[in-house]
Amino acid sequence: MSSERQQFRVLYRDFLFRLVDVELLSAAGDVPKLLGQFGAALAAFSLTISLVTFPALARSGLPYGKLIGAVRLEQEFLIATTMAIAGLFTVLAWNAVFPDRRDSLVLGLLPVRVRTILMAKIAAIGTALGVSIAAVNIFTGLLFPFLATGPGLLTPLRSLGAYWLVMTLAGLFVCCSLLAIEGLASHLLNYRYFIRFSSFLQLTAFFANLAMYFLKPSFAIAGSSSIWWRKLPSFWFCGLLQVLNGDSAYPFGELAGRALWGLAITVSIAAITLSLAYAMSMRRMVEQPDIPPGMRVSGTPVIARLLRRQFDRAILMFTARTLARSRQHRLLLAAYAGIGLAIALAYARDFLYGTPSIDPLYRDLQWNQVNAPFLVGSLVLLFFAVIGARAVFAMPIALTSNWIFRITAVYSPAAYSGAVRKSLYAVATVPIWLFSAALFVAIWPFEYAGPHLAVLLVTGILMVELSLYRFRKVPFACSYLPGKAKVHIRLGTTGIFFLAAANIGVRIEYWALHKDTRIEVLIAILLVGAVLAHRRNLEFSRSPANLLQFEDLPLEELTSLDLRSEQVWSGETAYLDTPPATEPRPQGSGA
Amino acid sequence: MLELRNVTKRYPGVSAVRDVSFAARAGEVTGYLGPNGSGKSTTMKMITGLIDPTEGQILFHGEPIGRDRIRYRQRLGYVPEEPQLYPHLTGAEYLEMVGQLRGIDAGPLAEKIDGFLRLLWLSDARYVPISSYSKGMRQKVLLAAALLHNPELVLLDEPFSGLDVNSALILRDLIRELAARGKVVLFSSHELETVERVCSRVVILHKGRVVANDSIEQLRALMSLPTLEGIFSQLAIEQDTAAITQQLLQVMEL
Repeated sequence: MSSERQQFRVLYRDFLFRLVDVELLSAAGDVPKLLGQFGAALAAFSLTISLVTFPALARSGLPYGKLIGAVRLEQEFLIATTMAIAGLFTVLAWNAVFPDRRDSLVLGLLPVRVRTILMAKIAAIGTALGVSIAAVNIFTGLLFPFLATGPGLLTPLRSLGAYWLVMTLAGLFVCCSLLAIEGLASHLLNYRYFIRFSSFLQLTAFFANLAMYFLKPSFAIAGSSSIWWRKLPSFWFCGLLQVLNGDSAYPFGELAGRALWGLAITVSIAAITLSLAYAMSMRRMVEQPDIPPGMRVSGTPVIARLLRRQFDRAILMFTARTLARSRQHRLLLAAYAGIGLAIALAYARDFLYGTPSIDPLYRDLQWNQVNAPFLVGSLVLLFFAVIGARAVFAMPIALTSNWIFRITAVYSPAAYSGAVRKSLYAVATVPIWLFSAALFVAIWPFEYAGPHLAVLLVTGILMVELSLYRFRKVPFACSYLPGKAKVHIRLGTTGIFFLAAANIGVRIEYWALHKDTRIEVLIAILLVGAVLAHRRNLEFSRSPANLLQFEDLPLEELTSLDLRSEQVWSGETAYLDTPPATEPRPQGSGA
Repeated sequence: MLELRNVTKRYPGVSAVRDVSFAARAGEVTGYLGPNGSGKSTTMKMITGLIDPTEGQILFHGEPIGRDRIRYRQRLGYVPEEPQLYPHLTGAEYLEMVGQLRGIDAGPLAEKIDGFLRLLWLSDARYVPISSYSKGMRQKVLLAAALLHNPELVLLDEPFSGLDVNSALILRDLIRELAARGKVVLFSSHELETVERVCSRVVILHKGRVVANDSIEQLRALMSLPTLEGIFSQLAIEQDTAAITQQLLQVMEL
């Protein structure tokens, strides 16, 4: 085996495992296992669609003309889903595609050709993208091509080939579009400014990808409006699929042309920018620092006015700075916010296309009058912001640096708990509430906007208190077991239950908003819940046995031994903010 | 006075520190020496309270450090062996956070931070994230964080690591001055020449046990050796260093 080929193999394997930032899912996680879980989740989606939609279409008994129309609807949906997954993959791999300082510093010293590095990187991206596309189509791709095929022995085979080719090209189009944008930015901007702007681009790409998927009209809705035909890439590729299947009638020929032109342009730009980045930028970026020269951007004076205690400011500023500067934490929070936004947008779709609904709450909607989609949307955004921030708080930023929190822990766990609560309000509840306040006061009569904002405020307090139950950590300063990636799945499940509850809650709120006494009772009930949850958290944090937690342990290993030696805890501990307790209070006693 | 009485730290299958006893007095700089893996940093971490001893007691001014950990933490300043800092914060932000966590008032804290950054030549980098700092700059931030609250007990684990000559000279004088002002200073380093200049007493650790605990003059006289390096070689180095050098060259040329 030649030296270059061996280098290619080594680099290919390394790039492949570094492509998606698995730290997002779990610190020091098992890479193949996590990627396997990701692939399994996509395959499960494909299986569900196959089990639900395929039999319904296959046994529909529709005449060929109508069946082909229904099949096209599904094909467009599958193409759009494939494109969304390819977009998601590209966003996750954002920082691994173009060369960074680490590549330059490590590989620049070794006798490896730039060409070999570039080829290994392209091969790694291609493999991961191919696996994502294959996983999300693994069942649908074996069934749907055989629906409504024409006569002849070779036609089903042609349909199968066309399906997989179009899915691959559609995924490649999205991937190359995003890489082209990133590549152009990397060449137009100085490297050290590019790495800052790149984070913004990455988040924009993430939200744009989600918004496009959830807000775009379906093939059926767009049928009446030619504007959508020409503008949406998923429609172009659906047109290409029809052409490859032998139907070149208007507008499929035109759409196929757009798909091929779009693909040619994006692939060319991505290829050129990627090649140039490897050929020209690797040496240049070694000469420049990763971080631009410092400039003072500080919200400290504002924070100082809002929070009187120095200690509260320390926790809040640490939280805000970590979220603002850690790509890993910011992306994970963006993922939660993105899910919330996607669901909120899915509700708002009704305003764009006027989809008829059998539910009276979602019928004859007017955006400038109180309406259910906006009520649910604001609640959903608030919920995902709170659980997202709470989940992100549990992820460490630099485990080896946590010693400073241990050594400086001179305030009580109750003080830490209070500071963490304020931080959660500041980064999750307050921004969503302020955004909602600006929106609803602007578009709705105040008699509805005011009470809804009050409901949102109290619900926000309740969510924060519930999410912090038994939380004894400093944000970003506790170890995180690899298995905790499942926490995100559990939170996702909670999200599904929340959506069901939110739908019911919004019906109650909509009903209550039309009478003052009803809404007052609703707010009072929520307020009582919030106060009770707050008291429960206070009791927990004031219990002397509940010390700050810096090491994550599986629950089964946590056994209360009620130790009172000096090494564990002492009821006589005098924190800066509390006098020493003479008698240790049992957990759960009165506040 | 900081006192360790028969301190042992055992991990499953290995004893990192065995039956260590010594005292570090106020007004003195006590050197804590030993080869790599001898248990120096483990002892330092036990003294900070980051880890607990398996056996034995650690006392500060006659009181077990676990009796009132909060008060002890307020009196302790620690520079760890590795410059582990939050890389996304700037030097000034890190010091501000440490000061706020320690409960220092905003006014004095701002003055202290300005002073430390200016005197340690970090003013130009005060708004630059620590991820961009050199090892020496990080070491200076650690030193400032350790001294921010005017501690009574100063633990310095390899504090000269990465420092330039100028900063090292200042730190050497600073360590002596801290002791002169009545602080208890425990100083661990591999730079024997510096230890010889700065410390009044040394404790030498080998394979987790104390093999020497005396003033440098006394050790010189006892062992009839002119330098601390000679004493250290005799007590803590078992291998033939010249032979190992030759073996390394042979491996390289394989």
